Parts: sequence; C-alpha cells; structure tokens
Amino acid sequence: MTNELIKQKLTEKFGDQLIDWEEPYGMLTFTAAKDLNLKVLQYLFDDVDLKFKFLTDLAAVHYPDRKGEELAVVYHLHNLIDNIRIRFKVFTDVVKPDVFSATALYSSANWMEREAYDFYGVNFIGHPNLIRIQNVEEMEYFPQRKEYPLEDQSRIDKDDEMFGRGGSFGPGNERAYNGTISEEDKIESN
Amino acid sequence: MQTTEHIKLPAGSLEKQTTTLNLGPTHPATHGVFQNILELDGERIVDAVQTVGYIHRAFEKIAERRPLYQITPLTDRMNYCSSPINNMGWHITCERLLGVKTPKRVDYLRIIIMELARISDHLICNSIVGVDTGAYTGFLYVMQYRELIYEIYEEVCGSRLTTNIGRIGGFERNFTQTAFEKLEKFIKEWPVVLAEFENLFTRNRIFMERTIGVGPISAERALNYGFTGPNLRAAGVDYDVRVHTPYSSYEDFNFTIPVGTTGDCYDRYLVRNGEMHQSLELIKQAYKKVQEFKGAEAEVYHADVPEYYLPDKKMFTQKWKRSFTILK
Repeated sequence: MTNELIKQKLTEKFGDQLIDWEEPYGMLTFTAAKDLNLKVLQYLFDDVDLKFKFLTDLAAVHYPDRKGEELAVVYHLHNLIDNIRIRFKVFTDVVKPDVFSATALYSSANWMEREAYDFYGVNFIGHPNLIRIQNVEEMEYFPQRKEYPLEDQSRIDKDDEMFGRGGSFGPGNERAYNGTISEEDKIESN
Repeated sequence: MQTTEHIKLPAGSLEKQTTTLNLGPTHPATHGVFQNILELDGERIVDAVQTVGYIHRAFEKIAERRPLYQITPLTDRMNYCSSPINNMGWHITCERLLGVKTPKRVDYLRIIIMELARISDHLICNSIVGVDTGAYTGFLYVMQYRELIYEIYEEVCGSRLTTNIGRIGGFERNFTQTAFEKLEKFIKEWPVVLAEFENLFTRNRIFMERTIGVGPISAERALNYGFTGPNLRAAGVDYDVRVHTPYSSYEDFNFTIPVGTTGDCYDRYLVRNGEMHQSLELIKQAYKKVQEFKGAEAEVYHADVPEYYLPDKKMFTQKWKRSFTILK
C-alpha cells in the first residue's frame, strides 16, 4: 500500500471531485467537496485494500481569508494494517457550516465533532448529541475562530494585583507608570 | 446541564426504574475534571452522561501567538504524570518541521528520559488501580521509588513534575555525572521494587476478583473508539508507534510489546506492568549505548541549530578579553 495506490483508487472511484493532492512530509493529503465527506470516508473504511479503520484525529480550522470556505474540517485516518496515514479535508462556508457527521462510522468522531462544534461552530448533521463539550452551555460564540485574538501580552492598563503579580501599582510596573528609573535600578545599572 | 432519563426496568425486577447517581466532578486523570451522571440498576451502571469540560486551558489559542520554544511548557500540562514524553513529542514535531536531524546521542538520552517517564506514568496507573480496588500499600510503596525518577529529571532539567525538559534539537545542557549516577541507582534498585509490587497485586485474589472482567472492550470497538497505547494493546491490537513508525532511533533497540486479550482492567494492568519491564530494558540498552560515546562525541547534547541554543559563554569571555586588550 503506497500513497500512489491510494490516490489511484480514490481517483478511480471519485474522479476529479477530489482535488488539491499533496504529500507534505510524506502524508497524502487531499480535499473533497463537503457533501462528499461521508462517501469518501465510507469508501476508505470499507474498501478491502484501503482499510482506514482508525480515525486518529478530527479537527476544524478557521481560514478567515478564504471567502466562501472559511471553515475546514480535517480528518486524519490511519490504516493500522499497512501502517499508512492520510489526511483529508472538506471546506465549508462560515455562514451555514453544515457538514455530515462521521459518528456512524467512527465512534471516536462523537466527542471530536462536539469539540469542533464547540470551538469553531461546525454544525455536524446527524450527530446524536451535538452540544458543547468544553465550554459553558450559555456561551454564544465560537472562541477558536480567528476573530477572537488573544489579549495583548504587553498591555499595562490591567490590574493584576489580585493574582499576586504586583498589579499596576506594585513593584515592576513603576517605570511603566511614571517614566522614571527608581534609585535602586540606578545603583544596579552603574 | 444535560441529564439522563430514568430507564424503566423489565417486569420482575426489584425496582421499577433505574436510580440516578451523580459521580463527581472527580479526578481520574487530572484534577476535578470529570463528572458522570449515572443510571444505576442496583450496582450495575446502565447509562452515563459525562461532562469533561471543567478545565479547558485554551492551549491551542495560546500557541497561536507564541514562538515554538514557549509552547513546550504547555505540553507539560497535557499529562503531568509523564510530561517529558509530551515535551519530546513537541520537540520531535518541531524538528521534523524544521528539518533538523538530531545526533544519535541525543536520541538515546531522549529514550532514557522518555522511558523513565513511561515507568513513572504506568506506576501511577497501576498503583492507583490498586487504591481503587482497596489496596493502598502498593501505591504508597512505589511512590517512594518514583522519587528516584523525579530526582533524575531534577538533575537533568531542574524541575520534577512539569519538566519543560530538553529543547528543539536536544537538551539544554549535557547530563551531569550525578545524573548518570542517579540513573544507575534507579536501574539497580527498581527491579526489586517492581517485583515486590507485582507480588502484591498480580496473583492477589481480591485484586483479580475486582478487576478481571471489569470494563472489557473488544479490539474492534477499541479501534472504533480511537483507543491508543496500552489500552488498545490490552484489547489485543499489537500496535505500538515506537515499533511501527520509529522516532528518536527506537529502531536501534530490542524490546517486545506486551499485548492483552480481553481489554479488561486486569489486562490493562498486566500490559502496563509488562511495559515497565520493557522500559527498564530500553533504559539499560540506551544507557549502554550512551556510555559507548567517547571523547568529543560524549559532549554532544544537541543538534547544530544555533537559533535555539545560547552560544557557548566561554567564547564570549574570550572575545571580550581580546577586545579589552586592544582597547588598552
């Protein structure tokens, strides 16, 4: 079983509906239309030669710059018998992010799809229990999307005193506040 | 909060329906993160609803903004019973992305550290299963010897639990003589303790009664649920990434993979115990290989990746002295 053979078998079955064939670091990677994801997974699972029975990982990715296909769902599949791994992506738009659920094929997809829903808002159609898994139920947004950047680490307007980090008026922040060097620091620098 | 419905029991049962019992949030893996709402028919669990989201630390989000070497401390927290293995996983990933080839000595030193971590992790699993089945002695006894492993970590990297051990390309400094002495002490004292630990549990009637046939899983189901590691091997699948896709020169070593049959608690215990024996063998082999490096080779502790290492301090003092004399 080689990457070429997998590619050949998949192309025979699906023709040019599978695109973007790549082999970064030796791992075969391709993209399919989002309506096709279950058919491809089913074929990879059932075929007597391919035997991709193990779903290593399922994750979502947010590409804010790709208009019309902002969200990707990435499947990492593993054939344990021939010890070969492939990666398979489907893209969906962010407005109506509906993707078919793989839970009927892989039980492991259950929690991973819940996670992808929780953090990226991918709506997995056919999932038995698509609720948030890590965040609180009341949350109204999807925190891993790129429109929620991390807080700037260098901001100084926040009072960290409650967390034992000196706070805005504690030691270490004098310079940020009054713009002068304390006497102690002067002695040290000499 | 999601709740379960009572399940009606068939006619003739003692009760009409199942009982709901809240278990947790408790800490089977890390602190206070796992809650189960159980539906019980007597003592038997019929259904359960899990909540796993009590601690989410947004590592993925934090990692978006950090340089590679600042992500290593985050990997410590993935499983703090064996943080070195997670650290190494991250380093090896980065090295593959950067195209860095590590020297053999680094690989062997890494294997020593990783297998020590595997032992300390399996030790927790196996001794805690003892605690859960009513035997506290084994747990307290082996914790004393996990100290020996932690002392080696401390000598190598300065910390014990969340180690942040190594750097991209190798280690932050060479192993000291004391580290090797501590390793020798461990290799000498540990097998006796492991044998005693097995005497306490493996053929213990109470332990066997409480673990055999508990929580079994078939190989097919385990694969479908994405099991890996000892849990998958206990179900009878002989898959080990160290053998099938060797990294860090695991292909240079001679070891066997323990495999179970039924995937119940007892098999998982046996597989982990077997792996501890194999890890010890790996450590011995790796230590022997490390000792074979002589002269300048014995000083190699990282690959040639100047971006991730501070330059030699001696070099700086010499340069400074030279420029100082010129100034005079």
